[in-house]
Amino acid sequence: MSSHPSPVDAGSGGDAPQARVIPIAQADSDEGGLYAARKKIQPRAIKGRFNTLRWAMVWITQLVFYGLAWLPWNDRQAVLFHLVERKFYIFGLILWPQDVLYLTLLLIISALGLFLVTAVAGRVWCGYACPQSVYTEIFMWIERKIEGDRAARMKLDATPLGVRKLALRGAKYGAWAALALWTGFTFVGYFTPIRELAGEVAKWSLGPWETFWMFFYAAFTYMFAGHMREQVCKYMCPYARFQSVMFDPDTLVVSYDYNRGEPRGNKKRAKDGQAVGDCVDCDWCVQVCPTGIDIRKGLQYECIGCALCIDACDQVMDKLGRPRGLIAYTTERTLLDKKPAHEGWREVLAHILRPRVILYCSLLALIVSGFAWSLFTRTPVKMNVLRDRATLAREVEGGRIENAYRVRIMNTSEHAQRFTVTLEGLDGAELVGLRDIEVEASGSRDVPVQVQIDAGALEPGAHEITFNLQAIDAPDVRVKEKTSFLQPR
Amino acid sequence: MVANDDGLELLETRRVPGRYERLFAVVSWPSFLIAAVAEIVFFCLINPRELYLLGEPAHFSVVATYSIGFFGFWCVAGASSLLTAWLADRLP
Repeated sequence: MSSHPSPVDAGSGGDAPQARVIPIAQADSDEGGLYAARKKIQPRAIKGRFNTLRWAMVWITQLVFYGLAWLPWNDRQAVLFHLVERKFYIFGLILWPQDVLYLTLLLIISALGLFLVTAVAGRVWCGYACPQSVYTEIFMWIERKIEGDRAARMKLDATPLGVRKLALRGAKYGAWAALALWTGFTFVGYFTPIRELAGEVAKWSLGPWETFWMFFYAAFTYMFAGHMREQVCKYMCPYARFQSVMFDPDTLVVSYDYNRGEPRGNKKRAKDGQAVGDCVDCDWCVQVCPTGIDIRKGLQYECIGCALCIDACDQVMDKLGRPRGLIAYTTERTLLDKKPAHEGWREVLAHILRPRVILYCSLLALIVSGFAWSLFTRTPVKMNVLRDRATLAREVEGGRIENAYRVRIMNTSEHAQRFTVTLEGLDGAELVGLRDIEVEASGSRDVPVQVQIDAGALEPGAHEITFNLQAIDAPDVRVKEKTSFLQPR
Repeated sequence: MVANDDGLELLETRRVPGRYERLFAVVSWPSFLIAAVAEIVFFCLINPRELYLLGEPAHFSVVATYSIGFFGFWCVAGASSLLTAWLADRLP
């Protein structure tokens, strides 16, 4: 019998084999466990290289988003996904529902681009370009301007509701709501012409669905950027969860240089002979983090790669006169080689071209060139030929058999075009009716067309026939469509 | 940490608050994304003006059809997500 009974053998007989007890130490759970209630994060504002870069991205993305909707192009909105007309206008390009292939390609290109960027530089998309980060930044800026810096906001959170708190909160929520509504308006303005929309808003005559979508998108913006913030990234974003499969030891991630920083502490107060690392445990890297994590614990899925902790740590290192880079964009390989991050750039660059990156790049190059080629060689016309459903075939004067069709011609260019239709594939078939068809710019036209053939010329049954559509002024603009001609018994 | 009479930890109590909010988030958000994809694919292929409702041409405006379609897709995808969340929570 053991002298110190373990929980396993406590109740068993004396012959029971000794159970090996592995001592388990409880991990410190300052996060409060898996299901802890969320603590409100009040990040400290920080200046620095990466913060400047983030704000540059805010300006670029938002100038494009808010501005592009108002840009005119050939008497229309330059970028408009016109839902009612079912046409997508992107500058000189007009896409019809039939062009869904381009949309698919565009999505594949975006996905591959994201994979490539993630493999090379981690979650830079999250930190700099994702609308969630961008709007959270803008909303936090408003919050800071109205309620003050981190300390003031935490103090305000703790104070009971009074006139001042009510006024500050009201101002903040009001400013957020105004920005959210403007965002919702702009969003709807990409699907309905924005100038008409603005006119309707001014006259209070906005349609019910436009109103609904405007408020819906505004509410989403308000909720996501104002209140949910990092929780969207932590609990809702699928990309945050599968990012790890795209990471490898050569991916640039925001990392703390453990070898250099530990053990943390104050060098001046350290006892003689006690080794102290460069981390002074000032906690700034934690305070600036928009997702409220401690980067010194290593790579975590909550980290959106915004690098604000780098800015914070650089400032502290500058003040202490120590080299920057205790927290830096670096790779796992550099860290494992125990090279200081600021000296590891050569190694990082040497490993950028690796099979994964080369594969992503070649796939991307292939699809982008295919996309571009297909766009440039696109014929600016489409044709559908539908058999008339009412009459399959009928006999007309002179003992001829007639089939009726409806030809839909879609002009996908930005100028009016004139077309002619010819037949092919059936000897003796003759086209009756309209021959020269004018179709307005980016418009479509349905034309009834009859095809006649001598009664004895064909065996009974269906025969293949091809309609050729040819632009009169441009010889290379032509399309074909196959259909059938019915000869009754 | 809270324990019940048997001395077992009541993990459930630690989930509150936030459990239903999070459930709402993981159900509504993925189904929103799927609904967006379904909406694009469906209405690329089918013109809302050519839809029939109970044997008669649907006389909604185009934007109304798109909107109803989107919420229809969202509800269907949301129901599926909810069922998945419920089943995943009760894995044997």
